Parts: sequence; structure tokens; C-alpha cells
Amino acid sequence: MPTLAPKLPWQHAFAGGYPRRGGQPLPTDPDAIDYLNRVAAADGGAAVEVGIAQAIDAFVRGCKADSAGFAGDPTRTNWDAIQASCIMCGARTLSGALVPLKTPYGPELVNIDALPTPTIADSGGSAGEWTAATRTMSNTPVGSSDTYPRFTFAVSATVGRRYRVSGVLSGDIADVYWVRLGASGVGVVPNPVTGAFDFVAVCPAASIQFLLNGTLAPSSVRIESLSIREDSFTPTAFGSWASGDYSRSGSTPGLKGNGSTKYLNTNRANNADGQNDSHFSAFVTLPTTLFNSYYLGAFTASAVKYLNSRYPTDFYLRDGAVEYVAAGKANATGLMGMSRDNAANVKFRIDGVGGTHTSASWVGDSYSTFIFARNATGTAANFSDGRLAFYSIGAAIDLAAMDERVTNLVTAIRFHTLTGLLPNDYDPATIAYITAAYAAGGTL
Amino acid sequence: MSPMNNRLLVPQKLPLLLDYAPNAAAAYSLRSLSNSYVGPVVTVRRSTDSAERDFTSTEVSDGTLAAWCGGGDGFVKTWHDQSQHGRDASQSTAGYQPQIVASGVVILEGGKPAVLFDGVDDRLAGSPLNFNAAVSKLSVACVKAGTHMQIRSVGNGNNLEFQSTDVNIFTAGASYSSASFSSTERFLITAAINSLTTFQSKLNGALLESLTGIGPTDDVFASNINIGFRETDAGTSQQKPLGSISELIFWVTSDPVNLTAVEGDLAWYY
Repeated sequence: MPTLAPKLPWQHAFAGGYPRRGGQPLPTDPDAIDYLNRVAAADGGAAVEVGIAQAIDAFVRGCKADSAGFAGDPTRTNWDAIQASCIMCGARTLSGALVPLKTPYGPELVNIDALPTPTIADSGGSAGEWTAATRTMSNTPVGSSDTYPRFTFAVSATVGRRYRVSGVLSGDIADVYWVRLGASGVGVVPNPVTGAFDFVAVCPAASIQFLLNGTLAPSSVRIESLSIREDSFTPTAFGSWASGDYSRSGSTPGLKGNGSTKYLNTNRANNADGQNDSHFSAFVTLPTTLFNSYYLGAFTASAVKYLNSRYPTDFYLRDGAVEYVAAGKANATGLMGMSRDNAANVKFRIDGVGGTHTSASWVGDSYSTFIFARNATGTAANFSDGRLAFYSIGAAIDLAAMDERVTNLVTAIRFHTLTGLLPNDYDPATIAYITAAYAAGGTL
Repeated sequence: MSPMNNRLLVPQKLPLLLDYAPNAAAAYSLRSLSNSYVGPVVTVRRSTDSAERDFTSTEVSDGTLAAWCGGGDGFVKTWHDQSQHGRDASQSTAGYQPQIVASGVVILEGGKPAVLFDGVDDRLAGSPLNFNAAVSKLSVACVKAGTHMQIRSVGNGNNLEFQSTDVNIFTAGASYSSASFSSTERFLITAAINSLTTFQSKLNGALLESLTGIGPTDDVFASNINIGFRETDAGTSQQKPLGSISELIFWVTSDPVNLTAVEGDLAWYY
């Protein structure tokens, strides 16, 4: 017979064990711990139970162990592919359920004390120089180009990902033409007084570039600080969501839309991921009862991505030119989504079945993707009244592996709250069986 | 030859809950809570002949109690106070006594012995527990499933009650309720009043609510400890849901009790 120990908050001083009584494993994955800490803060300081924390730890570890199956980057895991995502069950409160799975800003990519030697490009008579000891970029001769010399520093950023770039320059700040990610596109001009810059951009190349105005030489600019961190997204809730809309466990855990006003803006632009390298998914625990309603959707002239129920009959999934019709699947539950790794076709998954569907990719735009509705060029439309326990948006992913991980996660959370047992002590099939037995009215 | 060879070595007893969280004002359990308490934990009346007998914690769990009840039932006449303050909780009316043995089997909740209240008229009453927030800290820990209980100060309406859905505190000036919860299983509740203005309750070690401004300086809890029911000002029992209690401890101390350690002990035992 289990003790109450699995119900202790995982941050409790005795959650891991008690002298002469025993012990139980606590989360150890740093990303799982980071997420759980943020959920606890959002839940008013009450960390989730050890049983739920174990389920989330196992989910994160599992996603890290699963290859995304992306030919363009064989090392990519499903965890790498997930960008904007929320686990909308397990957390104690609605606020906790809307905590993004990944931190809004990822790990720091820059070591300011060990900046790489930049590549220097000159034009129009400029002669850029780099002094590593003082992190100083300089140019002495007056040139004819206002965008040279250019100092390009390699950064371990991923092309197509979204990053927040910030820092402070000193010296001849007014001589800085631009700071930008990569070596193309529009950059930003540092604050002429403080030298500070702070912007978010999709990375076009794994580098950051500083452009000095050669016509203003001589110039000397020191990099005082520099930070580059991947930018994930915290959703914004619209429509007066209330605690009653959220169920942390039970037979149908998740957040339930009302079919008229309530939706989430993921704040994830539909072009934040590569045109041919993206995915979106949602985990449904209670199907919508509304015809032509959307669990997830981006719908503009240049981007169409959605999970659309034509209740009570069919379900439509679409990424790009042509939608896929899942006949008779309007009441499907579980993970559904699409993943694209090429221009011609897209992989789909619904009701435990996957396949490939011919649909040319669309370029996308800056409109974000909504949950419980579709973003119709800036306006929420076609709301859903279904209940969702998870969503994710990001790069191309292995949907089947993702399905198994999310299903196990949601089931493990239900299992713990129903039985008080630790999911780590049982295999997923046993957990699924016992949870189903509880749903049928049984108990251990 | 070492002098040690002439000494009688007595194994050191493992510390129990009240050994490291001492100074309890009242402590009810069916396990041993203190190495310094050697008396019975419960006095039981058996249904077969209404005979009564005291039982230690070992006798509750090793089959002695069940065997004594034969194939019949056993009912709690007295739940002894292990704090050694003599605040035993008793019920002399046979029909109101909660049950501990059913058909020759000790009632278990989560694998541990528990006292079951029938939801009709079962209840136990202890001695008054004086507490004044102006001078003392009150800490309470309980493992239960269902059922109400209450510290009630008849006359001025001050009381603290644990329900199956929330924790309430009533003072002369106002009432406060914790965040509500729903539990059909066993759960561990701890609560603490650490000053005139702070009240904190936790469910299974997780914060339920921190309330401030709980009342004026004359808040005193000075009535019987009622277990298994809620008593009105007129002394009428009400709200008697079916459920069990495994352990209930009160501390009235000058310094706050380390409830985190208490939660750890209870969670890992129950």
C-alpha cells in the first residue's frame, strides 16, 4: 500500500526520502526541473506532487531521447524541435498550466570573455581591426561606405530559430550602423546614448554582425556585453479564462474552450520555424462539439496551418496548399498534428495513425498561431469548445514518438492523481490499464 | 581489558515524531508517537459482550486487538492522548463510539489502522485546549479521509476546523477559509497560527493558503477538542460525514513547530 509520500510537493524537504522510511526518485533533468520550478512559482509556490513531477521528468527525458527524424539535422531530438509549448494538465492552477514548457529565453550562447575572432570584411577603403583583449572593433581610414567595415562573430545559433539579442556597446556608438543576426537583412541601431541594443529576430545564419560606418572614421567601439538566447513563447490568454475551465487531472484533464470567446495566442509566428521545417500538434482529451471549429490555427493569405474539426463527422488537418481529410475522425482524442521536413508533402498524425500527405509548403508570415481558434489574419475565429492537455509548435518532429510521449505523460498524471502511486514504479502499459480501470469505476 | 566490557549496552531507541517535535498539547494516533509514552493508545469496547480493554500501538497492529474482538466489532471508547497532558478523547455512549475493528479485522486506511466515524452520530470529545494567539503558536497535523473535526470555543465562536474540502478558521471578527480542495482519498493536513495575523494551511505538504489578519487579540480557543463532528454553539452536533482519522496532533508552543519535518514523518509513514 503506498504512503502519502508520492503526494508531497517535489520541492518538499522530505520529498526524496525520510530517515529509515525509504526514498523515491525526484526529477533530475535540468530542463524538467526548470519547467517545474516555473510552474511552482505560477501556482503560488505550491510545487506539484512527486508523482506528477516524475511524469514530467520522464516526458522531457523521453523527448530528448527521441530523434526528430529530420534529415537536415540528424542530431535533432524531439525536445530540440519543440519550441512554443504548454503542458495544460498536472499544474495545480490555470496559471501553472500556461507556463511554457521551455523557458522564454534559452541558454546563453555567448561567452563575453571568450568571444571568437571575428571575420572582418572591408569595402570602400575601410580597414577594420579587432583587439580581443579589449573586445574592441576599430577602423582608422575614412572610407566611402557607410556599412563597412563589418565584424562577423560565429555563434552557435540555429538558422531559422528565433533569438533575443541584447548587449551594450561603448566608445564611438554613433559610428555603429547596425547590429544584426547573420550577415543579411535589416539590423538595429544601438541606443545613441547608452549603446544598448535589444531585439528579437529569426536567425538567417549562425553569426552576429556589427557594421561600422566607414565614413565616420576613425572609430573605436567596445563590446561591453552581449547576449544571444533562443526565444520561445509564453501564450497570452484571451476571453476571461477562469479556474473552472481547467482540470489538472481526472478522466479528461486539460483546458476547455468555450466555443465563442476564449482562446490562446501562442505568440509563435507562423514563419518562426522554417517553411519546410516545422510542426504543430495538440493533445485532445475532450472533442469539440462545434462544426468547423479549430483546436489550433494560423490562417492567412500566406500561411495555413490548422487542426480543424468538422464535427460531428470529419477532421481536417492542413499545412500549406492542400488539407488532409481524416474521414470520421471528428471525435478523435489524443495527439494530432502535422510535421513538415520538405516542400512537397507533410506528415500527419491523428487518432494514433500517421501518414504522409501531398501539400506544397507556404512561405508563412508574422501572424501567430492560436489555440482553441484560428488566427484569421489577426482576428480569432471559429472557436472550439474542446479540451486540450498539450500543444506544441516548432521544427520538424517525429510525430509518432511525440504521440507516445505525450500520451504517456497525460496518462501518468491521471494515474498518479487517481491512485497516489508513483508512475516511475510501473511501465506505461500497466499505467494505461490501471487508469482505464479507474475510468470504468474500479479502484486498486 | 577495556572498561567498556563491563558496561551494559542498551540499544538506543529510534526517535519518534514527538521526540523531535516535542511539547504537543494533545496527540492521538494508533501508532507510538513518543518513546516517553508507554501507556495505551486506545481503549476498545467489543461488540460481543461490551467488554473494554486498553491496547498499545503494538497490540493494535500485531493481531492482539483483532483476536480479542473475535469475529465481532470493536469500538473506540477512549483515544488516549500521547502528549501526556491527559486530554484523552472519549465517548461513553456506546452508540456514538467510532469503530476500529469490523468483523474481527482492524480497520485500515492506506494500510494503517484508522478510527472510522459512521457519518451518523459517532464522535469523540477531548479536554479543552487553551490557545491564545497573543502568546502562543498553534500547530496541527492530521491524516484523515473525510469527516470533520473542530476546536471550538463555545460562546465567542472562535474555532479552527478541518473539513474534507477546506480548512476554516473563525474568529470573533471574521471567518477565513483556505483554498478549497477535493479529496476522496487519505490526505495529510497541517495548519499553523504563528501570530495574531498569520494562518497557514497545507494539504499533503503543499501550501493551501496563507491568510493574514485573522482576528483581534482576544482570539482564544478554549473548548473541547471535538473529533469526528462539528458542534454548534448550542452544543448540538452537526456535519458528521463518514470518514476516518489516523492521527491528530496539536501543539501549543511558544515557538513554531517544524511542521515540514512533521509532514515528512506523516507522509512517509502513512
